[in-house]
Amino acid sequence: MTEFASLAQLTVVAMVPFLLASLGTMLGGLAGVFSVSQEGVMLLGASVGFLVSYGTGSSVLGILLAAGIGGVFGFALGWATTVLRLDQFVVGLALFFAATGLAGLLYRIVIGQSATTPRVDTLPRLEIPLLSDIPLLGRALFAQNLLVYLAALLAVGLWFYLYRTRSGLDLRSVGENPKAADSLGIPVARTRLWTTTAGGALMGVAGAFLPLVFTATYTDTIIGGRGWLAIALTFFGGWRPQFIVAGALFFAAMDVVALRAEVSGIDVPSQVLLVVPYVATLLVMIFAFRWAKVPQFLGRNYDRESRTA
Amino acid sequence: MSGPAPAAPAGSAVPGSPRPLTMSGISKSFGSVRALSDADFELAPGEVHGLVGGNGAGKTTLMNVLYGLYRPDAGEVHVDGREVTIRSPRDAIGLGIGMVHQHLLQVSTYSVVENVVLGTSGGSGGLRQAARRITELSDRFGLAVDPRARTDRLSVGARQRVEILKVLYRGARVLILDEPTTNLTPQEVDALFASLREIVAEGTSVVFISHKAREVLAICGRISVMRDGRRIATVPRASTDATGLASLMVGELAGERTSEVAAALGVGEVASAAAAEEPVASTPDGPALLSVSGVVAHNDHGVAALHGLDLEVWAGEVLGVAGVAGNGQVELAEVLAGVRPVRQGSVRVGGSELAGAPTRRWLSAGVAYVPEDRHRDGILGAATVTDNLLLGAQRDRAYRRGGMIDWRRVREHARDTIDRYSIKTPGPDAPAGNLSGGNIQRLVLARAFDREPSVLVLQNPTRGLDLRSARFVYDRVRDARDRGCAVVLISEDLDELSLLADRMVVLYSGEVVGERRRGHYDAYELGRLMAGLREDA
Amino acid sequence: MSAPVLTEEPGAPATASPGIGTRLLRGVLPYVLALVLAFVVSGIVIVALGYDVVGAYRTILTTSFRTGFGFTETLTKWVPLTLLALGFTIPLAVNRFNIGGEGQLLVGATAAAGVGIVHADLPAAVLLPLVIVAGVLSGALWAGIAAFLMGRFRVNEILSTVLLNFVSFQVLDYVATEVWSDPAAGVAATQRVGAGALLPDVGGPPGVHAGILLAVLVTLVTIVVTRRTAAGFELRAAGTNPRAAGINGIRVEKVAVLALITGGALGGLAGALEVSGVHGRALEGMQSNFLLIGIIVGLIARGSALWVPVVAFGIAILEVGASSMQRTVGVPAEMVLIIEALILIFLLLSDVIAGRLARRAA
Repeated sequence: MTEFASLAQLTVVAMVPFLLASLGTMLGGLAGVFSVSQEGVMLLGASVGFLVSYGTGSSVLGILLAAGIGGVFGFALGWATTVLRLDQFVVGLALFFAATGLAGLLYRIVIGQSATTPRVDTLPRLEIPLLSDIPLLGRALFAQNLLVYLAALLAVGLWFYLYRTRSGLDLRSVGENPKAADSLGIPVARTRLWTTTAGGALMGVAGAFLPLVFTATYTDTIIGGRGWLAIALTFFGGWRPQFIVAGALFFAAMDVVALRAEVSGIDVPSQVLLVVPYVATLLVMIFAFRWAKVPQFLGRNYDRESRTA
Repeated sequence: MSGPAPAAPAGSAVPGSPRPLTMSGISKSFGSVRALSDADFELAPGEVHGLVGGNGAGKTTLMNVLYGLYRPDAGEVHVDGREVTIRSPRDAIGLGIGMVHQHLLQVSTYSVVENVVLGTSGGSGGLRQAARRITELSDRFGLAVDPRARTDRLSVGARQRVEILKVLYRGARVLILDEPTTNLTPQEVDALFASLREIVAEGTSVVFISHKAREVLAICGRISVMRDGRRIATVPRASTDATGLASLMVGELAGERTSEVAAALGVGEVASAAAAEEPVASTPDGPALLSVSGVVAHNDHGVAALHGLDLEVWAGEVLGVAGVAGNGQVELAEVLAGVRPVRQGSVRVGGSELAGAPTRRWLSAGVAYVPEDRHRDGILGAATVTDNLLLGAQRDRAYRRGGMIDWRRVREHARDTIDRYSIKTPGPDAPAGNLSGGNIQRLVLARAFDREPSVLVLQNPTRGLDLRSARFVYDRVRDARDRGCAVVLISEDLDELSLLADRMVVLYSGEVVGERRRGHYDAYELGRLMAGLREDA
Repeated sequence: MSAPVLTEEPGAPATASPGIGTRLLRGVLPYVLALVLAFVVSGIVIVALGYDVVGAYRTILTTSFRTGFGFTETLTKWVPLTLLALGFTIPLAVNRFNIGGEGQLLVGATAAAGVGIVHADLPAAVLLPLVIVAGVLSGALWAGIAAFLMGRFRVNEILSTVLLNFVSFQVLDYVATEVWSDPAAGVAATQRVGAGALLPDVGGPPGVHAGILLAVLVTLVTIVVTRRTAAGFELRAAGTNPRAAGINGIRVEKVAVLALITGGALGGLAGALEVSGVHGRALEGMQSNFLLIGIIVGLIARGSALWVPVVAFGIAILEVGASSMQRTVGVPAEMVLIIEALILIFLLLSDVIAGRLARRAA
């Protein structure tokens, strides 16, 4: 395989956790709920996904349960901010802590102190015949594991749903002007609940992807800031699926470049390469926050009987 | 109103058929405030039913209960003779009830058709079909609007037509309009009334909420009057007049200072509301205290909203700024308050240039600002009344001791101010956000006058206030003028402007398009200016 | 955000309308409720996992008080916790979230260690202040990057402060492996600072490093400034309603930028004190989980500078008990993080309940 083809393939794989976590963030955000618990929920997804896969030998089951636990945390965020109307950032942080603690605790309980690092099988590649033989990009696009294909389908599906259906129109109105939505009978709380739940599930899967595809092992630092980067990516992508895909490609490329350059022995301190994704993101955000069309009611709770809103 | 008189009072009740709607025994409290107590209401088929009363009488609250926005503490609602429970707007829509709110509820980035179809995703057909249906409805009822246009590019009048179309699109049989004329020119009001006559002619019933007697008399067949959270009377149009209605609305206050009551209640002609109780001000001499020239300022979206605006205001004068909402009023008010950056041009107070200076300098130059949205811009809702009275003066020498705030002094002053301005509060340490609208406005005025301003800028200062509080505001404005203040009163209420302004300019699309002196105010003439028809055209 | 995140009562005791007793009850009750519930729920989990819950809780709560060493360790942890919690709550007062305490601590520690190594020969009277000032300034500078991006380009400060944490790991790693590396240390660590850069102990034996006095002083100053000065009033006003504050002459953006930089300075101070008082050098992992716990402390204290030191002490007890619990009873130390998160969550829930009760009473 050529150097370019292998880099391309790596980049596409590295996109997936960014893409899933960012789409999850976007989904809740378009209904007005801003999550800041990605980093924790992803770690929990990684822990649960790894442990289930390790215990049962089924990575599919691992991914499903990671989605489940992520969904529970997403639902908790939705419930606390709609039914109880607690501050979205404070609840998000609290859930981030709880998920982080739970992730480490579960691993310690199941694995305990073990001399060797436990490993799981990574997801197999599904090569699509003929298409995967296309030169240069064939393998990057058509010789990947199932989750890669699903993530791509999801991005397209969400775009279609949100911007081409009446139901998507209703959903977005909840994040733009919940009072208007409510006055037309669109259930604000229910919309926020299901979007945060689905969003949390996506974050859980994004986390599980790392041990089940990348590393085959679990560590407490496995997420390495990808959850926070996913928030940045969501702004960078202007809260729209099609641009988030493009942004995820950029974030993944930064990730891969940092790793690759280190291996290929370019004469730069490794630390400089390792900060590339974070510094690049900081610079990119200068522009992202200018152009992003943020949902008008992002981060704000809605109270029908409030007389001051 | 000097417009064409209604051919026949629209919609007289048809006897015998079941009432489309009755409400009885409705009570609703917000915290310790009782907004409705044992209120009732009854609507006949095919009538325009006026629901009037001063601000705070409970009109909007009652209709919000009907529309499912507020859950009543007690009471029953019957639709077509059947008892119903309305838990949410969805239930209300299902029962054929539609409401146009005073604050237009639209997703501003959506097109008209997208806004109209929101929440009907169960229905069939694409947006194209919906657009055809909207065009059909707007033709039938004279509600002209382009279904493809983006909502935030429309005028306020057009956005209100969109709201009515939303209700008609859902096939409502009861249409509630909450203060629909607030942002319309007199000409637009006439057009709205014509559409309403078409709508009731097809069998829909309309509830028309207003605090202006003149308007309900022009359009309604029957009129219910609310006071202190209950309905106190329902009268047929034929057997009442403006004075009778006004005395029902105000009760014990009637008979005092009639011109103010008339202004607040919209009794009689706009121009005559300011019965020549006040002498016509003579042309002032000398240089203006506040002079604005060639000011360009942007709105929140970075689009120019004021295009080279000029104004001059002399000491001891009230300048009224009339216009339909959205023509640069907010931007003008914030420019004059030193909050919004001046892109071009100059603003001088007493000769010194303030454009480009930080807000603090405007304050120390004697500019005081009473913002339109009291809750959002006027107070720190979660902070105490004391904190709010200190706000802006926290670095004053008078309140400082040894580098720190002299809280004892601050508290003394707060207690004194609460007395002098009769601010009704549980105490100086109560959160300001819990006060009633009228008391919040007293607080804001007290803070403004504490600074002994030389320029006072007010925007819609009596919106939503009860009569007593509105009169308090009027008195303070006159005080300020008599003390030699240059007062700029930006308002969308021609009655209020006619009452207070010595001179009036009309703002249209970010420019001054006309000027009138006291004694030469004519509602329809001003209306033409507000609609953008220039003097020289 | 429309609503303020946290609100504080005004500067001085108010004329209490509901009576001091009721107010105290209303203030303390949610805390008691949250504590009890968090321990009950965690206890059920511990039992379900088959551990000795009584033993676990006894260890968690008493380790700090059984030995002088335990108490010293608790106070030593209290210092960075309090400083990072204040570094979080000061910007929080203007609704800005400083999630960068970790990075500010590490950069502060790196700079402090650098000064302590390069000028190792200077006497303590000169070197110690230099080391501490270097930590404070570099922490402020590090937060200043995020503050600049926020003030100038409106870049969300949650993201920028977090991302700078990840950059700071590499800054420390670079300095500890390439510049003043100590290969014998086992982990990435700098050489030891000069003797003049080390803080003396107070009290004891076993004593606590004198940095604790500085931390107490900083806490007191924060309390006085936020409650009694015009600057503190402006901070509070800008957080409660930025629009109204701006209209009344307060430059909200400037206040927010300064608050974030101040928060960074406190993080940097924490880093310098860890170098001068605890490790004698900067090393990988020295940030421990102070950031997370600092934020929890700040949130549990509801942003009040008065409560931060108290809550920080309580949490320090739990943290010191955690490792001892893992050793003696076998419950993983992560359990304590769960307990802390639950305290916070239950506190938020009891606020809701208290609010509803108050509304019903009205």
